[in-house]
Amino acid sequence: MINLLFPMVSKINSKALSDEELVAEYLKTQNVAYFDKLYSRYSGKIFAKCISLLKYESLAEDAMQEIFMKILLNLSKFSGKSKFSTWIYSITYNFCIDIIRRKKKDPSMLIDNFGDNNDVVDDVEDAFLLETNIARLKVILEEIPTSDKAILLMKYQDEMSIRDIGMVLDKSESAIKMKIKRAKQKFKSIYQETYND
Amino acid sequence: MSKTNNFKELENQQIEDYSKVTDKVKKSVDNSISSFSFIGNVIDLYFTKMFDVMFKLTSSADEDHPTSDDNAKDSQS
Repeated sequence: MINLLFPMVSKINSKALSDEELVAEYLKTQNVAYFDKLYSRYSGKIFAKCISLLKYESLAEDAMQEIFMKILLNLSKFSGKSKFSTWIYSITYNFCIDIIRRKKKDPSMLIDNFGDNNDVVDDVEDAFLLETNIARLKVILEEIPTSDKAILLMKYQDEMSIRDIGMVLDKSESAIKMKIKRAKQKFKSIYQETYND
Repeated sequence: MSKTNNFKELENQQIEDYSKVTDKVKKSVDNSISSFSFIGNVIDLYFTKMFDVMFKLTSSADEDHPTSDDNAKDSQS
């Protein structure tokens, strides 16, 4: 009867296990302790993305709960072709983008904004973005359109490769390179508008 | 790439700021996992038993009511 009320939880030695090994062990044993370990590794990062993209704490909280249920229910579909972190970030970004699209709170999230646009833009140094102080970075990320914000977070916060970002957004590598360039340019122009130094 | 990465620093700050929220969400996720597991176990335990009983009942009902083939065999003998 105990098993009926509580899913299997037993202590595991998961410190040395990689994410992919934890997934494999969870699928094999259904021991929730393996999933708990994945939760503790990624919950903070996933919530940080949700709050950055959705802006409201209550919305981010609900989104995170649904994202983790989605991850749990789809763990068997994780093929291991990409890193586990890329897979769950992909679920997170697409889930948050869908919420914004549905609510239509942010017109920048309309599908057209994710289309290919090959305007020529100036190159902005990575260091300019990476070294912007945290308080200012917060302000600019609040101001920047969500599509640009998402792509900058993937590149600089998650350090995802161009190929992985392309997989998440279902775009070609050349389209992603152009989008990063445009997002960096947008970042710089908002910076210059906000801080005249 | 530059050694300083304030995008990462911002992420770390957010992780620290919202650690209580992630703990709260964990409880909700745990509750959902328990519910799923409970429903799964109920289906596993009771529905298989129920189908088993129903199968036995229908097969015993067939034995009580002979088919037309059985009647034909009886009349030939």
